[in-house]
Amino acid sequence: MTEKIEDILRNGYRTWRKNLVIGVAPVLQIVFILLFLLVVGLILYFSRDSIMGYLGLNIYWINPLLINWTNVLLFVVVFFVILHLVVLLIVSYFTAGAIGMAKTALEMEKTSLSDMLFYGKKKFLSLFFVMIIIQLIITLGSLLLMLPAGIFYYINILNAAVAFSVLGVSLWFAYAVVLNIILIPVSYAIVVSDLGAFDGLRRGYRFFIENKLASLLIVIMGMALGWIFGLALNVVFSIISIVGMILPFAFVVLIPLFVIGYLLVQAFIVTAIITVWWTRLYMDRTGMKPREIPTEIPVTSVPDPETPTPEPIYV
Amino acid sequence: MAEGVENVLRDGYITWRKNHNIALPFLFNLIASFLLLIIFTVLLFLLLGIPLILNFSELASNLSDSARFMNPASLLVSFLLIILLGVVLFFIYLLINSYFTAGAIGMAKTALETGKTSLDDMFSYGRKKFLSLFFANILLLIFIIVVGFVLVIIQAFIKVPFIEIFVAIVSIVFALFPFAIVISDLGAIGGLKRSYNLFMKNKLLVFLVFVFLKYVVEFISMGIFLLSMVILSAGLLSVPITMSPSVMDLAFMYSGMMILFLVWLFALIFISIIIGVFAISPLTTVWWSRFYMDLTKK
Repeated sequence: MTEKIEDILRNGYRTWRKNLVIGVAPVLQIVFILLFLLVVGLILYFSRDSIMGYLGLNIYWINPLLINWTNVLLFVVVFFVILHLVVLLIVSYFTAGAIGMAKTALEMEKTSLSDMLFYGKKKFLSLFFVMIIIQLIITLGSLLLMLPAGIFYYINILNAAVAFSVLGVSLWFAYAVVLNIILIPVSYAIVVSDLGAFDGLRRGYRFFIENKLASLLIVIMGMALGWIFGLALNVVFSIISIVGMILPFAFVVLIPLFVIGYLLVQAFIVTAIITVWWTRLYMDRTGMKPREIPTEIPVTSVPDPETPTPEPIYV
Repeated sequence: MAEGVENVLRDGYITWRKNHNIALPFLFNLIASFLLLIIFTVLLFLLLGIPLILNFSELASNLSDSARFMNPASLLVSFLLIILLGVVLFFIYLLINSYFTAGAIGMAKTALETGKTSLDDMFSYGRKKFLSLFFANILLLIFIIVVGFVLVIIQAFIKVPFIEIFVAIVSIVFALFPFAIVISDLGAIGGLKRSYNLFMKNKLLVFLVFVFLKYVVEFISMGIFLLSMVILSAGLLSVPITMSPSVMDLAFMYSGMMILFLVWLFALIFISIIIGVFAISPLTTVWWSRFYMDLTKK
């Protein structure tokens, strides 16, 4: 019989408490993304002269006639595409690592960073591809929804253009939100069930449809957790702002540090717990019985072994 | 032990589908509150308006300046009377609300136990339990006001949102008290105590149900809002949107937009109230009742 939701939440929380290392993966994700953005920023800064020249800009004045618009367009598009792809790569790697750690923790009661590296390396490509596919689906849907508005704007019937824009934007919003929620189990299908991009997409979608209530409860609990965390953070922030009143200069430095600190702590605690919850729900509803803490009959599914390199045999 | 939140939600939903008349107490409550509001407005108008009218009538010319309405003493008296009126009407509103809430919970209980319910259940449960529910509400209100007063003073010095946290905690801890009073036939204090104990023993479950219902309501409201956007966009088709600089055209456009906006706003409020009364309130009542009966049926 499948586990009840409250047991999934409780046991999932306990598993996380015994394996706080799971939180390291989301934290590293943020650190790497920030480092990458820093590097990009530095590169942009040190090559700003050549970039400005390439775009046709001049730091003394900007003459709209001299701006090389095609270059600008090309630059912006390529820049953001590359940025996006690299960030997505980082996210896929560490998400795969986090889910892998959660899976190992639920099966074997203990996990470590080597599991993160193992699962990250193994599944990050599939996860990367599936994320791109999902983003394409959402973008394509959005473009389709805004198409009527675009057509009417083009033939200059402004009434209908505005009307369809409002309609398009609200439908797009609903579409994006619903799709994002429905496709949450996809990452778990890919990592936990060791599937490829398309199989994982199909399996994840089916998982949500077959377990609507449980999935929605986990989604809502995740949001509630985030909300409580934000509230607790509000308290801490107010206390710290008192310090800021005493040393006004410290305040300016403290705010960005605090924002980053908040993101890191939230990643370490909230993201990790939510990951464990989803992993446990997924394993439970697909027949892989995760362990109940403290001990239980050993689980039947064979955990992925970290293949040790065999010792060379000296003849 | 509880069969799990999923069963509560599923059975509760099925029970609600078969007994749509549970929405009736909420409808009556809405109508009664609306009437109360009208009475308040009328009395307010009389309280403020009559002296004002008297002031400017010929009678005023016969009175000395000190007896005119606009002196500070009578203004203060009118102000105090308005507050008194507000408080009295608030208590009447609370009484009516307690009656219909007790009726609704009673109907939910009967529907969950026997599969069917009727307005007779509302009348009998309402009559029987409305006083206990009213007193429990008053007690809780006094508690919140007293503690809230202290917190407001503290919050003036330390900028921490104590009040928000406090209200949230009280709502969750005492979420079950109306159900304890009506379903377990307890008094005001007994019901508050029982709901507190139940929370202490089942913290995770109560929190889960509370949060789930809160977000379900939010999602439904967002859904209604998005739906209203569809209507708004349909309405926009009829507004003459132009980019021409002609003043007449612009005037038509802006007035059309204003009218459309007002119509849309009223439609949104109206639809939200209807769905709230006929769907959200009865459903959440049935869910909470089912959950409560589950917890106390060990």
